[in-house]
Amino acid sequence: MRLTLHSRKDAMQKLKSSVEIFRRYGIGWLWVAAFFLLCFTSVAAAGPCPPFYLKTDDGKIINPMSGDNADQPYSTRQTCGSCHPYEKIREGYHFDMGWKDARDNFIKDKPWFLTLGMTGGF
Amino acid sequence: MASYRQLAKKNFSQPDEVEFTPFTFAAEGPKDSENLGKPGCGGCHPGGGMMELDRDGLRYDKRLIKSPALAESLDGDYYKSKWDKTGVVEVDCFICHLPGYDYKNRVKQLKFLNFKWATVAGSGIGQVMGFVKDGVVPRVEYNKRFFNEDGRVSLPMPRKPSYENCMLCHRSIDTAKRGTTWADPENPDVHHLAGLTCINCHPGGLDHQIAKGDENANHVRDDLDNTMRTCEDCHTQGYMGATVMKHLTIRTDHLEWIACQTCHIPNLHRARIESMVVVSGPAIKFTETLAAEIGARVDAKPAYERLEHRTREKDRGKIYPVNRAIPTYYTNLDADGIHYPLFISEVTKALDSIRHELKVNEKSKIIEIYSEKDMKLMLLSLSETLKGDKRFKQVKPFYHKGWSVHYLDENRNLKSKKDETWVGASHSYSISHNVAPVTQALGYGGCVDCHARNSQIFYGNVLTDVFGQDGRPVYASSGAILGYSPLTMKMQNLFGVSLTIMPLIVTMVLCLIFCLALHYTIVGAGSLKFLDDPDAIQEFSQAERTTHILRMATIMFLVFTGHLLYFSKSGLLGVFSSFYRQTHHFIGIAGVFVLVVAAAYFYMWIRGPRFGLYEQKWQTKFVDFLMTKRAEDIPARRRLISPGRHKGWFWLIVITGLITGSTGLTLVVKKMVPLGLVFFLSSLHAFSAIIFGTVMFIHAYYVMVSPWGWRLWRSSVGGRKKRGEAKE
Repeated sequence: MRLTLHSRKDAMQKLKSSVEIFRRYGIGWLWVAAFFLLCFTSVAAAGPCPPFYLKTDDGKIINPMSGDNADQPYSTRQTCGSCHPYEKIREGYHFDMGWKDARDNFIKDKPWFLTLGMTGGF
Repeated sequence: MASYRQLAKKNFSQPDEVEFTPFTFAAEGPKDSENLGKPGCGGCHPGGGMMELDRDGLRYDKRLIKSPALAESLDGDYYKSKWDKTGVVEVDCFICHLPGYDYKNRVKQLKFLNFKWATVAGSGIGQVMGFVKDGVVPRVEYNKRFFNEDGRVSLPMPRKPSYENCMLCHRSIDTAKRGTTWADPENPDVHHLAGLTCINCHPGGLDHQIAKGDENANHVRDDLDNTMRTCEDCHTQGYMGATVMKHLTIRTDHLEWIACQTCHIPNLHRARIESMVVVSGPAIKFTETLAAEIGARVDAKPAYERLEHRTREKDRGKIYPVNRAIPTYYTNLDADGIHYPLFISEVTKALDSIRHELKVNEKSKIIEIYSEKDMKLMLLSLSETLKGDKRFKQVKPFYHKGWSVHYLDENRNLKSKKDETWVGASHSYSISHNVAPVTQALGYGGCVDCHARNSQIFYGNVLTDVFGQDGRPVYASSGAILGYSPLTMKMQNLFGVSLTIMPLIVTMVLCLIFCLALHYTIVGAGSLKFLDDPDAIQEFSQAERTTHILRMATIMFLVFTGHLLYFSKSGLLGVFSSFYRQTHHFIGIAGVFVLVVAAAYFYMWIRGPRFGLYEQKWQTKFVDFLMTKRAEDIPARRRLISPGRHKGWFWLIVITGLITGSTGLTLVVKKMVPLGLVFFLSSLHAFSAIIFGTVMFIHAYYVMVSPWGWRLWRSSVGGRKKRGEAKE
């Protein structure tokens, strides 16, 4: 269909308006989109673990399919710690059980207590 | 209090000071084929902490490889260890995050010193061949069906652990400590049945500081106490559809000193540890059902204690359901005045030398030491055994049993006294699961659920000694454990009886009201002729009549609200229950004040009701009538309302009013009164109030509706009576 002068002007005007809108607000929208993308990926990362490599205690990849280090036990510190903050998790009280504060004569009148954790005692 | 084992110090001076180390901690547990899957310490401790790092924060394996001499040193972290060969036990993420984790296989690997291989076997990603215990380096065979072509492993690991994973460790240990656990068919918890899981109430974040409650016996990370969702969190807001609590049939002040769990966990259906018995070598987890094992199905109920060491101030001193794991073991009083618990190896060594002189209980299969002869024998043997023990400067063994302590004096005679050492302190585990349906909660059936003569909370049996003088377990009443004196318990018994028979009395009173109403229906209303009579003289002043009406209204209100409160039917008043309780107290105080002022001001009330010769004559006639039925001397109307009768009613009202008022005034400040006295006064207050109210009702009946009452009504309302009547 052949455009009339009026319609061409109108179309150009619309295009200019669109460019102007993008120029004016586009960067902002991109930031908003990036934010939502980040949220989405964060939520996705919080779900079940995607496939991952097992790693030995010294960080080498265990690959039973190729046979690399395939007879070695994996290390959770190296394997899970690749994505998750292992050191922080280790401080969880189920793991630490007061061990960070353990010391001889922890309780003066009960010297056999070395920590408040359930790691022996009466 | 968590274990019967003692961890070696970091720096010790004598091998005698070592019972177990972090290394033996990880490998602890029975290793026979039947019990191989039962966890020792390391089974439930999921890695990290003392199973990975020494007390300097360094990895055991790497440090021991660099310094092999540490294994021969007097360093508690490395003493006789093989960390360099076993590796360390890192945080095992899979225990919590991998459905179907093979917990028993993990336990087996730990016991056979395959520390760093334990997670591989437990997760099932691979099979582990060989054991460090046998002197070989284990080899892993990974299961390729878990792996993609590129060698990445693909596992269904949810972010939020399921309760099945939590129960891998918590099922056995919670059952042993508390007689209940989560998702237990014998102990169904309404929250589990409603579909909740552990993390609904115990959420955790990336820092893995799982929200916790306030366990009484364990104090690790008390700074995290009460970070979990509490009962109130959900049951005041209706979170996740929780029922919003109303407690309409419960006295509101009860909620101030009784924890939620106390009423809502009325039963425990698993045998639990009731005492850690370290008297005959290995520690025995004593349970009252000796024929069965820990966790066997039983019909039991919790013990109750006032827990003073709660983190939240508002929880301190409340009554909680607990399991009291009473101590039964030996200590040595050293030169520093401290009672040191003996190692199991020391107890076993002492026992071995006298084992042939002791009898084994056929039922429990253990040597039970309770007779004076056996206690003395064992204490002497311990004295001999500890003589060469370099960890003590003084040898003086003590046997702690049933909150008593037994020891030998200088002449080697057996002495006993109350256990006032740290051993005698409470070792009670909080019970917070196995929440029953509300219809089974204490209080749903009324006050008698707790205040009856056979209630668990006052009269339940609580173990206090595993071996009494005759070798049989000794029990005390739950009320005694809560600190109530025998007198208080007797008063509570009286209170329970009053609660039991009070409905009967109320029924009888209602029957009386019905009979009176029937009488009114048959005979008809008395004349209400109290119009002014020029022949009448003044009997009661305006002030007397006004206070009379006020007293009657006050008493009616007190009887009404008192009945509702006594039978905990304050729920009928909905949100006004607390208001009515306070109003009952306020009106009661005001009523007593009005009575006292009225009695003091209108001295005629004191003079008037005295029985004169005239009343005595008519009372004699009436008694004679009752005995002989000769009616000629007594007119029909005098048989029901003869002179002096109303004075008798008056004095009955005064006496019961005084009792009701004085007991009521005391009960207003019952927090300052001993509990036994509260029970007694409550019973007395209720009984006298019933009599008081009944007499008042009869009095009102006579005045308002009896055929002869119009005269009384006229004088009490109009204040005047006929000159002739006054003369008579």
